[in-house]
This record gives sequence, structure tokens and C-alpha cells, in this order.
Amino acid sequence: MLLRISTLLVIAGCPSPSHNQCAIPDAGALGGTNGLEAELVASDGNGNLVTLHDGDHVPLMRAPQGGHILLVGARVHSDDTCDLDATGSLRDTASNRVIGLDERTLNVAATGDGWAAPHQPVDLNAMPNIAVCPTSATTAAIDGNPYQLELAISTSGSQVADLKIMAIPTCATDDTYCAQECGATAH
Amino acid sequence: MRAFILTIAASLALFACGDNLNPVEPWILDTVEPQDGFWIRTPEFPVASSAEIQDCYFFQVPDVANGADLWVDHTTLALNPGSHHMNVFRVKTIVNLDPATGSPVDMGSVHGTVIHGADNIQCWKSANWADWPLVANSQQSALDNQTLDWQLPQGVAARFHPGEMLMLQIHYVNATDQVTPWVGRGGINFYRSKDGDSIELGTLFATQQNIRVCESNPTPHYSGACALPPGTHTVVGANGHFHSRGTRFQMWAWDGVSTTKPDDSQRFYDNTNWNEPLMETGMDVQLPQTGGVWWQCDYQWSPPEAGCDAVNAADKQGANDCCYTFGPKVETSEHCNAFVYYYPKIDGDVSCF
Repeated sequence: MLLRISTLLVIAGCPSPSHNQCAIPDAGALGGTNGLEAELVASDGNGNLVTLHDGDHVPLMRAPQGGHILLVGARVHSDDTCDLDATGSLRDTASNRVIGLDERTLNVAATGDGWAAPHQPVDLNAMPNIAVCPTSATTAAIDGNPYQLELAISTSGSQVADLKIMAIPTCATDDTYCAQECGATAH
Repeated sequence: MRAFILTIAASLALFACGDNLNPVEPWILDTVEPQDGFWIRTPEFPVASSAEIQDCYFFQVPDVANGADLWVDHTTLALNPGSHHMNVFRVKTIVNLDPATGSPVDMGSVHGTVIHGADNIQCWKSANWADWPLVANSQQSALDNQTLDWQLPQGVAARFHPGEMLMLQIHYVNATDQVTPWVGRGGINFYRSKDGDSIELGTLFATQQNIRVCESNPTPHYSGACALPPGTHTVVGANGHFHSRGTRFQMWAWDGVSTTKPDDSQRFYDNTNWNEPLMETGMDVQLPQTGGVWWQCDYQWSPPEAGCDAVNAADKQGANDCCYTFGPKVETSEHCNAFVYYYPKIDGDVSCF
């Protein structure tokens, strides 16, 4: 019996998330860009989401084909399990240039506390992959320097949140390739 | 000799079974004399039914300019029908794909080595050429359009150092999504500039690495932006690459500052054919100062011909949702790669991934 149940669980695998666009009823009333209460989060690479604040370090993660990315999303005030459109970017405030940008669907799942958080945060597909190393947009090191991390969220074509903090992309201590690719000697 | 027999057999089969009103022949390129440049050819190789073949050929740029750099302003790339891609890269950091471990191979005007993907999985793993700048690419192998002939604009040429190591990677498919009717084969002629071209051609390679096209979410799209070094750049050629779930590949000139998709008036590439994607040449698109390229891939999920098992097996998330994820295999995975050619090259070529 146990074997049968476990077999069924294996066959079922992880459930597919719902893919309806999130309904944000107050978005229009609040002027669009700040209609959704939200906070920036990043993946630590182990499936954990970390809420980000000004001055925080954000892990630089190795991408499958090479390069390093920031895996960034948002927790949003919603009871829905649904999709948002998210554009994540990293900006050099000295030059105003965007160093890396990625736009994709952000699927959030209700967490039972009135909030919804990215589904499957351990998976690289789950949140915007902001590719920041290598980059031709700056000659400064990415690793260890402060940059503006931005996340614009929209649903059904209307922007509902615009999140910005200063963050410090940071290589893992054992990632020597990151130090080369994202460090001062990379350029 | 075996290759020659294969060609003859393939040609005979084609003529015997084909429409004699519109006979089609395998491509033939002229050889190139050293004073005019150099030429490379892969051997012919069979592509069995249901097979996907990817091989990595390595060779050094010959010294045809008495030790000086070679400037190339004209290339001709040719592929037998059935090719999925042929890309040429400049070899930089050796990770797990080492030219020295390949088998010797005669490539026409040069000798090189080859690592077959069937024998060595490293020829399939893109992390091995992550920092290898793009030189040239072609996805053009239709029966009636097997060659891509490209003359760069006046004053512009690609620059090579004699002895510089290049890799030619060739991918053939003979399955449901793509069919190879004869044998696999590729070739390139590199023609030397003789009119003093001195503006160096640069290349941009950008890719979306984390793609998910699932039965439950069948029409996703992915967008990215890739910055060029400061300065004014002009795009002269572009093409996009995805697999059979790809429905539209677009690129726009981007100002390097905005985080919203550029207006469609800035779009310079728009392709809906995944199998024989449009290769735009002869372009003259000036990008904004300190700008770059914004690109987007749109997808439509479709059921795999062989069922979902192989697709599900490759899904690291284990969603059991028949999701095509990032990978090189045409039948079971997806890509979203932008190839852009521009001038002038400043501070090296550009990669965004």
C-alpha cells in the first residue's frame, strides 16, 4: 500500500502552478505603479528566499552556459497563486546604464499569510535571471560594489509595483571563476 | 573515399526520386588560394534516422599574410540540408573541451582536430565555450538555399591573428523536427580584404539560459537586454535561434537605460521561421550611444512527437508538465540565442548570458 502511494506521488511529481494573471483590484485606483504592496527577494541558490533591503548583499549565481546572474523576484501582498510579469535589472547609478536585464513571468504562490511568494525558488526559471557578468556596460567590478537593483511588476499590461534598492552583488567565497568574471580584473 | 561515395549515392538517390524539373544539387564552393584567404570543409558524415549529431572542429587560422593579421571582409558559409546550426567561435579558456584531445582531420586548406559529440558529451555542453567570442554562424540549409554569401560594408572586416585557434561547431538533425535527406557537411570560405579595411567587425552573442515552455503555460515569452561598450555602433547583420516551439524572434535597438521594451519603430529583426531563420545581412542599424540590443523569444508549446517522457526526464524541476527547458537537443529542449554583428569592435566582443 505504501509502495503504491509513493509510486503515485513520484508519478505526480511537483504540481504545476496555476497560470492565470494576478488580479490586483486596487492597481488602477492607486495610480498603477504602486498599486501592489511588494518587497524584493532573492534566491540564495538553495531554494531559500531572502528579503532584500538597501545595502544588502545579493548572491552572484553561476548560470548553466556560463556567466553569473542575480536571481531576483518579489513577495507580493496577495492571496492568489498566479502570474505576474516581472522585469529585473541592475543599474550603474554613476552612468545610469543598465548592466543586465531580464523580463519573464513571475509565478507566485499564496503562502497562507496574505502574501504570495515565487513558486519553486530553487529553480532558475522561477524568477528573473539578471545576467550581470560578463558585461560591457561598466568597467568597474560587479562583485562587491553597490548597484541599483530594480524590479518592475505588471499584470495584464499595467505596472503595479516598481521596486528599487541599492544592493551589493557578491560572489560566493568558493567561486573562484566568479571572482575572475565579476571582479575588478574582469575588464 | 567513403565521403565521396556518400555524396554520389546521395545525389543519385535525389535525382532518382526527386522532381527532375527542379533538380537540386549539394553545394559546391570554390577553393580559395592563400593570397585570397583560406577555406575549410568538414568531412561528410551520415546522419541516421532519429539522430542528432553535433561535432566540434578545431583549426588554426593559417598565416597567409606573412605574419600579419588577416582581415576578412567576405565569407561564404555552406551547409547541406538538415543542419540545425553551424557556429564558429574563437577559442579562449579551455574548460572541458580541449582541441588537443581531438582526432586529426583534414579540413581543406587547414588541418585540425575534431571532437565528436557522440563520443564526448563536452561538445554539447555550452559552458565549455562560454567565453569564446562568436566569429560567424549560419542556419541556412534549405534544399534550394544552402549557401550564405556575405560581403561586409566598405571599410569593415573581421580580424584574425595567424595561428589563432577557432572552433567550427556543426549540428545536424534527422528526426521529426528537422530532416537530413543526404549527409551532413559544412564549409566556409574566408576571403581576405584587399582594399585596406580597418574598421574591425564585432560580434554579440546573447542567450536566455532559463526557459520553460510547458503544457500548462503554453505561450511564454522571454526578453533580455545586452549592452555594448560605450560608443556608437552599427549593426550590419543579425539572426536568432530557437527550436520548434519558437514562434517569433525579435530584436530592437535599445538605449541602454530604459527597462521597458523599445518601441517597435526600433525593431531591426523579426523572424517567425524557427527551422530556416532569417539571416539579415546588409543592415545599417545605428544603435543609440551607450546602448545595445533588446531581444525577445515567443513560444507555443506543442506535444513532442515521441511523447513527453524524454522532455519530462530533462526537467530538473520534475514538474511532469511536459516542459521544454534550456538545452541543445532540438527534439526535447529549447533555446533563445541572438547573434548580432556590428562595427566598430571596442574592447573585445560582447556576450550576455
